[in-house]
Amino acid sequence: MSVDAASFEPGGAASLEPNDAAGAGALRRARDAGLAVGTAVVLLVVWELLSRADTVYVPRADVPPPSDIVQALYHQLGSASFWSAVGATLKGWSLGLLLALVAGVPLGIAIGSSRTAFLSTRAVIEFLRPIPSLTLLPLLVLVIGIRFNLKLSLVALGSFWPLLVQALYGVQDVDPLARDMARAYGLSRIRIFLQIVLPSALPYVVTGLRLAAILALNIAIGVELIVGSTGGMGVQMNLLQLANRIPEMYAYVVAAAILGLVINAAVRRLERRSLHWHASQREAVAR
Amino acid sequence: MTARLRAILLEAWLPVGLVVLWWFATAHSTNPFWPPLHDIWHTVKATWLFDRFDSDLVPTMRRVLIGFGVAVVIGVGGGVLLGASPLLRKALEPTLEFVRAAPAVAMIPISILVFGIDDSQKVFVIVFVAVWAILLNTTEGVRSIDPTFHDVARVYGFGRRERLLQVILPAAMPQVFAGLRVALAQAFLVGVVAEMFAARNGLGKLIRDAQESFRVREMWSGIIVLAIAAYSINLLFVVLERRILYWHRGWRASALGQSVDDRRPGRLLARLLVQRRPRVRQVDAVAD
Repeated sequence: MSVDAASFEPGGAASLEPNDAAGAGALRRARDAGLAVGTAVVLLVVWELLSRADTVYVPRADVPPPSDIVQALYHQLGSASFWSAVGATLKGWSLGLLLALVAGVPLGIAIGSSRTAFLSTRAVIEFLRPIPSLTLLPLLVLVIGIRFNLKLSLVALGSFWPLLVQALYGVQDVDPLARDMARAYGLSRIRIFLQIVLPSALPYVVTGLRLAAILALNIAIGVELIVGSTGGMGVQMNLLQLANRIPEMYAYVVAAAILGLVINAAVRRLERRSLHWHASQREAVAR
Repeated sequence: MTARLRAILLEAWLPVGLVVLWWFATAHSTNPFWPPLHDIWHTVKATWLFDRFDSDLVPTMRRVLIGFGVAVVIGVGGGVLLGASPLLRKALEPTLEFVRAAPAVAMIPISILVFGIDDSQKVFVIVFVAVWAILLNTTEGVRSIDPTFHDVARVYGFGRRERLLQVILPAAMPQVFAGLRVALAQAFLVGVVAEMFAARNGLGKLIRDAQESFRVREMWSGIIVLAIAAYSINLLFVVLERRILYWHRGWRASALGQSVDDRRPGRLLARLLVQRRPRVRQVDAVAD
């Protein structure tokens, strides 16, 4: 994936730095962290002041100060309804993603391994893929109804495409040299598949998983915003807005952002663990 | 010629077959949710040529394109600044990472508070969602420019402006485009969802209204038009990308020893999926 990136950074910042003492590095890291935290604090304070000034441009009623939001979030953390909303969102997210994984990756591998299959399906995939899956929400509301399955199906449908396409690219991007060599050594087709094709496709699949995981969270919350009966964080945001409990609504958005951050970090960690041998990860380790 | 014909047949049989299957499978359908494709087609013609074209399709496209345009300006501008200044990057990156982690659709209720449900709200949400992929990719693109380029620019005595226009932007362009592609898809997604949530007009609103009042044929026709719109916008982007990045692609192709066929202009559709995207390290953002 990062053939270029690696060759494009001859040295990079890290190797130019004198790594004479570990202490200097730690000091630099601490300084960077201080800078980052400082900026964030300054931005928050500016927001707080703007909101408290309650001008026409930043009316406090619509844009509450961060202190109110944090307080609201703190209260939410102790409430059962908050956690059941998070649970409902995560349930739709995880099951939908799992379904997409089970369907999309094998199909992508199958299509990618056969030239005929690839050419035959290309036009269909290319047409269906850009369609936002939430577009189908009204149709599915009619067909499935407004139950939990609705969220599950839309999440699965939306995250299916990145997984399918990434798996497909991955299989096609197997180094021909490695494949030829395996063939020359007389490896069976099954062994070529297991030992050459699958490992080469894996980085692509994991990238697809990361894209799909974030997309799935978006779709889950999007469905919840539009269809109230599915339960979840989106439903709560909608209800709180209608009830004019604005800081609480912002608290949910912040909680959703934290959730997004956690999911992203978790998949990246998985990526690093499962692919530590792969070239795309080396640079990250070296940094 | 026969080889070419066979290639076309191979690619066309499934899409054509699926449409034909849909047509005949629903031909005598009495299921209210799956009306005959024949009827849907008539509804598409009746509603979209050109009755709802101006009132719904155009507003949706306008908002998406305006929002995307603003996001490009902010994203590329901010990305160049961030990419060029390590200090700025260190100061802002964690904050930006957090803000962009918020699920894009969660911005919809917030934006309604501030902007109401007019065009400005849709555009705000679209900008807010689309800007991250562009910003982060531009930053990464500018940051990872080969230092030699900067040295050469210095040796030749390039001014600030020349350096920006002739060195930084072209060198970062492949990466910027990787971001633009993601951003465009997101802009479209969130634009339509925002319309479904609350709007006065637009494709999303139309589909949602049709569903709620059980006008199933109209709903289907809206979905089909939306699919075609999403597809066309994507196609347009690919054409544009090829125009602008032709030099990069050509360079990559020769460097990788790809088949000459891959570089021949034309036959666009046939290459959409297999195209070798510029292999820059893409900072992936929330993507559709």
